Amino acid sequence: MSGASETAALDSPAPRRTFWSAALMPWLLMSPALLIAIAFFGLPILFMGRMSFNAHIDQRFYVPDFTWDNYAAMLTDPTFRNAIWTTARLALISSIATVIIGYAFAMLVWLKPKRWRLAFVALALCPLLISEISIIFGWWMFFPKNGLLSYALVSSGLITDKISLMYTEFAAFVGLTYVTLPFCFFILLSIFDGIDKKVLEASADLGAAPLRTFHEVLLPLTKGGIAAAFAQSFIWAVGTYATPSALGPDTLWTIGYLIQEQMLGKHNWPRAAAFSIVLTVGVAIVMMIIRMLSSKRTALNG
Amino acid sequence: MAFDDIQNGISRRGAMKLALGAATIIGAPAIIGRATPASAQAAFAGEGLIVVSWSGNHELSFREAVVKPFNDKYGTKVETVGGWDQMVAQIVAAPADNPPFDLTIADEYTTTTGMAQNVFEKVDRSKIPGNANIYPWFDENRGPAKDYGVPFGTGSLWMLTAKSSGLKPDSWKGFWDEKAMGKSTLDASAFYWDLCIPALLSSSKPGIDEVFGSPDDVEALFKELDKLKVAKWYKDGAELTNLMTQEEATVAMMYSADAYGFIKEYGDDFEAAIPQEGTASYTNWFMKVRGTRHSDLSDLFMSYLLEKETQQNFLNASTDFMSLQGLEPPAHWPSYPRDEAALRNTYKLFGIDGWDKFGPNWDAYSVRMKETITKTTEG
Repeated sequence: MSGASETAALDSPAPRRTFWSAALMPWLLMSPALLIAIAFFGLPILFMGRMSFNAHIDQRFYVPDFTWDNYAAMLTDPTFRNAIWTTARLALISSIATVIIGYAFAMLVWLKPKRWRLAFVALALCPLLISEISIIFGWWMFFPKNGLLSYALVSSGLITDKISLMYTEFAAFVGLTYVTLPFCFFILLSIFDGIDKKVLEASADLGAAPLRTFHEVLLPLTKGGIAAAFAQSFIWAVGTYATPSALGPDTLWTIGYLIQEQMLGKHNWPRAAAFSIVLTVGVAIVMMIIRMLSSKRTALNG
Repeated sequence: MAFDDIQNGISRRGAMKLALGAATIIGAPAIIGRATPASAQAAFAGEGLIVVSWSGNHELSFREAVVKPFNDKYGTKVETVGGWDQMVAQIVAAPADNPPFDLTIADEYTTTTGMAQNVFEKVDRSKIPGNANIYPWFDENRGPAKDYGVPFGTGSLWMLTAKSSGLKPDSWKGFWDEKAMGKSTLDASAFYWDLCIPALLSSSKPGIDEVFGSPDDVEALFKELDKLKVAKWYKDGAELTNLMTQEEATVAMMYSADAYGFIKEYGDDFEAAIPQEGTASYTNWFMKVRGTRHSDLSDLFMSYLLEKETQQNFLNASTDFMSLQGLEPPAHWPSYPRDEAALRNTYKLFGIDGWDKFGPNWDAYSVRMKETITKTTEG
């Protein structure tokens, strides 16, 4: 092809079409998911944001208005400030515990022969097959003075008097961890499944002890999964209100509890929406921080 | 020939209208409560209706004592679903001409919100025969809301004690008894009912009027609650049952909606009663939901709710005071109030006017209640 014809080819509409096609193609491919995300997540959040600026002046759920009162009230409300701290603390501790337990469990399933895998996966699926309310009832049978735990400890001679762990922060923490564990486990298992087990052998051949292999090979390779699993657990733990409310002490007021109190008890939709917006923004900030931290590349993950 | 004329002269839509008209004529007497079951069956057989009752034991009793006999009598497909705080929100969220249910139970709080949101439809109670025989007390504090439903009964606070506690459910003072310290349980969510207990014991104002008084009046009630030592403030009926049966608590404030079912199940170990000081109460009205597509069947069902047999059946399986006069005390409740004077003496209504006074201070009282919860459970 001559130089002139090449220039002509470059100027022709075909390459321009190719350029536009290339630019539009990702958006076209994404559009179904994008539409779903906008319809089911974007619009409700926009609606919730708008609701948070309405007024609540009488027995009606809300009166159309544009006021910052609901946000201003949060600054002066000690219950809300305490609830932020309580929610964040509980979610953080339970998410860390969930990631540690989920990581160990996923690694065990990954390392075990394939014939064990189905049984372990089925075990991890169990909490997802039962409603949160049923799980709460289960803990109500487990933690009280006349519950299974107390009975087992007394029967085994470890303690002499019955004990109750019901309505303690520990019970709330265990309940939250149990609810979020399966999500964490499956995320981490998918990450482990993407790792070639030969890297463990290679590390051992080069003389690394198991702990060093874990620290310098496995941990860097699963760092992204750990961040994703932590994020998933944290979102669940922050938003769940039934479990900490039913298992924890009377004074364990989480933001979720305050939202349902405003929404159902007081019928104050604008205040409930304002609480929800603050919670959503808070979770988004935590997610961005996790993403920033986990995107730092290492020598191993490139 | 005449047959041909009819065939040619009436369109399909006309035939439909004719059938509907005929059904209405057949059903009309049933709607106003004077139909034979046979004619009502012809009009409503197979038709569905969704009625909300209080979630839990009340719902179970309502299904067995009211809904099933109604369906047996009229061949309908009425069903009841449980609700608690969310009914008005559900109606508001649904299209105006297609509500999620046709009738809903409503106490004074639900009614106040429902009226403010305009979610109820008017009912001509003059056409309901049983209406003439209800206790006047039910209509007295109802205001304009009385035109949107029928009163079925009264819910109230009952005192529940474990037989092992050494306490009897005969006085609200029992909550402050040494034996109840660290072993009592009250409602953390609907805290206004907790405030009614010291109000019933106080003699400074009649009934529970302190609750509707000035913030200072209410503060005095909070201070009384602060003296309690509570095992756990429950958030729902299931948690209350668990607390009592697991021996975490031995003295409780329980709603009448749950008391009958609880005693039926655990009566060997527990006792429940309205204490001698009387009790705070709410009324259970069944309100017609705006936009219902089963308006006539709703009317028939509301008429059925005020029939003596229906009321007696429900009373025999509940601890709610019923709206109709002349019922017989059930075996499980020999002291059932039998006249207007006994009703007024026993039940102190948290009425719509009470909500108008309490509502504006809710947020402040809610914060104060959290202080009480903290004080009564620490240590």
